Amino acid sequence: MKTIIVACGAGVATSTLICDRVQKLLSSQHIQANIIQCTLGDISRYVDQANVIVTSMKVDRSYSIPIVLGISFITGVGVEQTEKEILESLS
Amino acid sequence: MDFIVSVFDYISGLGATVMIPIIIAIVGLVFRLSIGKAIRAGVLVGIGFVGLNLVLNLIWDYVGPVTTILIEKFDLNLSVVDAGWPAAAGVAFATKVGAVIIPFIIIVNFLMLLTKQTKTVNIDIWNYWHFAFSGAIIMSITNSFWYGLLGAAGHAIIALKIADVSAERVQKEIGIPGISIPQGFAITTVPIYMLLDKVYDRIPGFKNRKIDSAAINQKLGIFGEPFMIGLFLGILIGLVVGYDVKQTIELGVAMAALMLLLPRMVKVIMEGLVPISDGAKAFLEKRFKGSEFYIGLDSAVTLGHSTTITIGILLIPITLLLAMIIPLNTTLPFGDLAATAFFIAMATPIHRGDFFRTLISGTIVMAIILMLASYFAPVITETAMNTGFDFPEGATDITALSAGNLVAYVFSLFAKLKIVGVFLIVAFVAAVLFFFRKPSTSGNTN
Repeated sequence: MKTIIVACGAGVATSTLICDRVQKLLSSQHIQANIIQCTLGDISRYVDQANVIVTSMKVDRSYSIPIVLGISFITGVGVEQTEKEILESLS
Repeated sequence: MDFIVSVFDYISGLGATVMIPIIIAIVGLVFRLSIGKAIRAGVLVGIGFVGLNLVLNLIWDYVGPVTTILIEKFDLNLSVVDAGWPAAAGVAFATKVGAVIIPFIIIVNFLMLLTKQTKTVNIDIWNYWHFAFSGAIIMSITNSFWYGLLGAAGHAIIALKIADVSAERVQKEIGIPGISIPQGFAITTVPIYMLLDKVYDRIPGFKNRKIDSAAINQKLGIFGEPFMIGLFLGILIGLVVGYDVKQTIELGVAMAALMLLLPRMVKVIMEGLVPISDGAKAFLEKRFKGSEFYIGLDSAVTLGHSTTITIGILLIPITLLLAMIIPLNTTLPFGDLAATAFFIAMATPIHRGDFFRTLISGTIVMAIILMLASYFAPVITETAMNTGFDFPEGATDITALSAGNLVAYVFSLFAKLKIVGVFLIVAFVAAVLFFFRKPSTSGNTN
């Protein structure tokens, strides 16, 4: 099964919103996947077991797996593009 | 009108665990949720508060006794425990002002947009707690719900204005167009960081100092998880106060538990707020959409900067040290040590990612915050008690570093003057609007 990391500043508020959107996207595409919700600092801990990272902010560091900026889920601008990026990284 | 007020008084008199689900469900219905979804949202938020209350007991059971020892044995006047932003937000939302804060701030934002006083559409519903906090403080001092609401509106208006002013810099530095940051705490630090930046410009040797914060960041990686900070701090404090091995580890695990569980409870509250946040967003977006508006987001969007992350970690020991040496401080920093990066969220964009400037500014601001958090401790504790959080007999006072913002402080000083203070608050907000009038009017006049 695929695994998605969803990260924000405190791993609580904004990421809960993004998780909700990612979950809806997955179920609409009939994809089964784990979602790990965490803080920005925790990403490196989960990278080895995940396929893609979705964050609420631009991140300076690069990881071994693709990282998608999920801010459109909050602003509502460019949601389709973000969804496409997430789905591509899972395929 | 009197009838509405008395119904409202009755509901809020039932205590947070009853009032909050009811009010949130009503707010949900206002934003066109179905009855089932509205009730679900209300109950989830209520569950979050019950959880917060349960977890906060760890503070009184384990952290409280430590403060007594610190005072007796080391003459350190750290009598107040920093319970962190989850507790402060919980208390703020659980007050009468907090109960109506979501629709209320949306109305304030709506009117500000309509009168072209702001370009920011603040869709960061969760962080309305900062405005609720300012309102709750004023309500507590003046005993007036209406003055409380006025204070919340004042804080929100200042937040929108400062968000407008800092929008361009924020967009450039973090690389996301069309946004601004009206987060209630972050905006209060913007004038401080802007002022300090001007000061640094005049000091020789303060220009263009580059440092690779990403490399330091890698080395500091062990501090990543908040509960490890809690464990480490608990064991350290246990050793300092002379606990035996069992007590020391017990304190470590209890503090680790607090760090992990408090935010988890907020997550439950947040899950309840998601559909309401969506409704509020849809309401505002339908009316104010397009390139002439900024989307107001949480200050967390700036936290991806490696300077912010690294200095956020460095601020943990710095804050503990400051707590011991600042004379006016009575707060034992704890809960918000897991969120130190938030305090410098605006410093990095204003200092253009400069490491030393951000570090020095961060230290100065933490010192101010410690004093303000200590100042707010009695009123936060009293408000928490009044809203139905169970305080055991003789419990330690609580506060939160994230509550120590300058706007709430200035308002609270004004509020002590009662009706005169109300005029002063209005005058203060008007002055801020006037001082920052340029950025938003320039769009209309040309």
